[in-house]
Amino acid sequence: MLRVDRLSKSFATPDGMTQAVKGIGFEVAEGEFYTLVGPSGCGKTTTLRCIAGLERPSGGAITIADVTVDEPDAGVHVPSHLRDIGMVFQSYAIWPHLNVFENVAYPLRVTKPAPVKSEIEQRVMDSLQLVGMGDLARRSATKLSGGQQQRVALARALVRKPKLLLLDEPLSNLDAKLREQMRVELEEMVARVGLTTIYVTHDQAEALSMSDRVAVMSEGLIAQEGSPRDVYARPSTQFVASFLGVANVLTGIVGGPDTVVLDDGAGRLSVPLSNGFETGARIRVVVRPEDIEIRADGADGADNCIAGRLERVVFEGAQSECFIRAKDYRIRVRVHQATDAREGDDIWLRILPDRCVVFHQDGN
Amino acid sequence: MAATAQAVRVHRTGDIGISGVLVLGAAVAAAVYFISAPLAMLLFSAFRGPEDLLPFETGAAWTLDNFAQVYGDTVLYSEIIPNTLVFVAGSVLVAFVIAFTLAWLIERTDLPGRNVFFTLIIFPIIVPTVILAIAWMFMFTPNSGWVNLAIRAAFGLERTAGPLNILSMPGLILAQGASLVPFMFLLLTAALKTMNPAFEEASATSGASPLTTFFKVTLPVLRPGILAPVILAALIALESFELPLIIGLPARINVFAIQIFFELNPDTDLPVYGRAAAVALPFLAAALGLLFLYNHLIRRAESYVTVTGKGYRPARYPLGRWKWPAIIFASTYIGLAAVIPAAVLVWVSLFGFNPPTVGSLGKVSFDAYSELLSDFRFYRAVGNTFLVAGLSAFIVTLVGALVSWVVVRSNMPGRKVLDFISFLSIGIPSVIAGLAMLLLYITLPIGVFGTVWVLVLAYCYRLAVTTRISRAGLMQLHQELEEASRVAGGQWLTTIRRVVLPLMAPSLVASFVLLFIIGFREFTLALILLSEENMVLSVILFRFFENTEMDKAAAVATLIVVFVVPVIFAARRFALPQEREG
Repeated sequence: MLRVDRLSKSFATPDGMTQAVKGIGFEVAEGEFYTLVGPSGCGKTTTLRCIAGLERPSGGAITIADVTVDEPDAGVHVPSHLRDIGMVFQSYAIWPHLNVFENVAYPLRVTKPAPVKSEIEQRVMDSLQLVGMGDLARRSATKLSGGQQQRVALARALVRKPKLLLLDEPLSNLDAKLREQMRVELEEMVARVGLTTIYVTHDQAEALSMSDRVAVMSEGLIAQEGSPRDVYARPSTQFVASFLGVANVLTGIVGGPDTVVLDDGAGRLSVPLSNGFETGARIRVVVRPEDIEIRADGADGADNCIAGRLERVVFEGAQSECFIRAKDYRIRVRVHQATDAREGDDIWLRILPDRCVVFHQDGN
Repeated sequence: MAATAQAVRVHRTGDIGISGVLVLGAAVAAAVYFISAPLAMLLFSAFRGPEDLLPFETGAAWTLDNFAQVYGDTVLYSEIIPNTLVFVAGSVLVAFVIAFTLAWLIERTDLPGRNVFFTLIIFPIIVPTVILAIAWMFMFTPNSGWVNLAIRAAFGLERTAGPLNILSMPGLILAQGASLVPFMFLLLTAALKTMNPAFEEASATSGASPLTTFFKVTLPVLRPGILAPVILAALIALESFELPLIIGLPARINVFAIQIFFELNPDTDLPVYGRAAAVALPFLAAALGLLFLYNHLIRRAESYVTVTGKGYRPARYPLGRWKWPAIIFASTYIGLAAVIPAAVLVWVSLFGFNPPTVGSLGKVSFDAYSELLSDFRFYRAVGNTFLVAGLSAFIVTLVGALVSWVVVRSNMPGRKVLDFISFLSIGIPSVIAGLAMLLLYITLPIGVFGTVWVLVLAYCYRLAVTTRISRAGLMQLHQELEEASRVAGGQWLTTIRRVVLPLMAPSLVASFVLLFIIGFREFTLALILLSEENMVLSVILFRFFENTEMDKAAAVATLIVVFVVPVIFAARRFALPQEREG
């Protein structure tokens, strides 16, 4: 449905040219929910705006439903209004001079030829019903809450039944509680219409919970692409690992087949190592807080245990975050029930071997 | 692939499309034409001669004679330049002292009746200055001015002239100063409003007295915000034409605006276009210099004082025993600049130009009005005034909005130059603009000269008014509001028509109203481009005054004031929403 090929985009800035997108490529299948996630400035929004036709790429090509819409080298650029897309903006961009109905009707009214009046009425109301705003069609756009504006923006993006739905950080302007609620609803609404969707966010929770596939971007490149489970469980770089969640990083050297000797005598771990790691190589072991168990007793070197002292327990309701000092490391562990352990106790950490991800010293 | 072929075709005109290119192209061309064509004509004409020919008539050639004559003439150095400097500096000083005092009293003290004072102070701003000039002449001419007659009668003075004489440099300066007050007052109240009272409160809590605070904190903090209106007032005084013409000419006070007019309308000879253009050039340069100074100060003012946070209420000083002096000061100004002139005009229109006595009350006559209302020239002037002011305001608002879009939103090469050209128009004195338009349309064989259309074209040069306003409006619109329309399938022109212009409506209305008022008051351009056919109200008023048909002049003035009063009261509701509660 969508193919992005070697896409690059440079901007002129006062300090010269900046390359925001450095030749990325991906394909999105019909009906897929695809997310571009990354920190601010990673090029995700620029990529989305290129797909929308709001920015002109510097190089590469973009193809929507087998039509090349951008290919600078061949002089091809289809303006936004001739691309069959729907887009929800970060600010929602609900026009204040039009009411809810007219905002949603706009894409139909500017289409040539415009549908007849009854059809416009029907499609706008269908679209508003879908987002649960059917009762507010005649309300002034200036009298909507953030969540309502968000729904209207989605209804407006869907009303044309576009080939491609583009969502630019649609949840980032909502407060925390509403954001979680809308996240679920948005996913359900989009799933109901079954549109191919490109979603841009900086929030890893949104990316992981909503997408069929995610692309983690960093500095204008895609660092890793895959299903949310894959990318979370098997990050290909340390950047991806720490961007998608809290990651404990332990340094050490390869002590033998599937054995890691941690620095400072913190202990030994047995971790499945691939062929790329030779004995003696410096490595990093990344392990997530939920992949570590706290035990009252254990033994050095046995059963993947290392010794530590519980420095701090942060109670968060359903779970607790524990901070454990083990030699020079400060390790975060998430436990789901109240533990008996108290701050100051000497405890053992058991690291689940198959949940560890190992990188070379440079993070790759 | 067919779709690709279409894409390539679209590429040539970019995202804007052919209709967009046409519309924007027309707007940009119009903007450039309205301002640069007359200026170029002015520049060329200064180097064309001989003087008895039009600059581009057959037989005319390039020459430096105009400059030699103008700048070899000692009158320029002994009279015109010193007079102009004294006149500008004096009237700006007078205007500033009065306007700042009034602005401070109304904005920062507990002066009673602030709303009424505010309305009455800004009232003259939408009345043509010619009306004020004529009313002041009725009041202050040395031998027959009513105020002089009243003073002589009251004190039993045995003289036939004075003691007040408006036909002098001090008289001219006071009159010009007073006429600048409303405009300067508006800008200064705005500056006072944006000043954060916490600056003053911090000074007070540090132990400074109110007077110390005023001089050590209030004035220095306000300095950029004060200097900018002062420079702008100097620009207006420099280009001011009505008062020098009506008061200065009989008093033989020659300033540059009058000199240009005199070269165009000499007592005996033919008009000398080349010489007028040569006189104009250095004054144009001076005016543009003031404009850049103003622009610089405005930018500093913006970086200097900003109010943040809401619910800001200015702290008002209690006037205490200064209450009555303050009321008398404000009332005196309003009396001399608005109320008495209006009363004098009404009286003259009904009783003729004889000093008012109780006996004359019986001799009320509506002849002036009935003559006026049976004169088709009066109706034509009314029609011309509304047509010219309305149409030029409409054209300039539309062109200005599109030009602002190009400057703010597009990446068209040369958009900075476009912005600069439109900004220049503030700095072009209207008498020079009038001269330039005269030269342009007398030369161009398009048949508009002498018609009402030449006025429409000429008035359109005031592009900066609208580009400033609509640019501010556009910058407040989130760009995503436009992009949402584009991705929804709206092509550029649709987006402009259905999203951008409706959302800019408040700025566009403000710009239209302001331009309409400027056009309605306009006198200089209309007088320089005058023909029998294209007379507007301000000019017909002046013609009656020139022909000493005082009652008719007063009747026209009265009708204008009667028309304008409801407008100012309607405008006040928009201008003063926050004052109503205060």
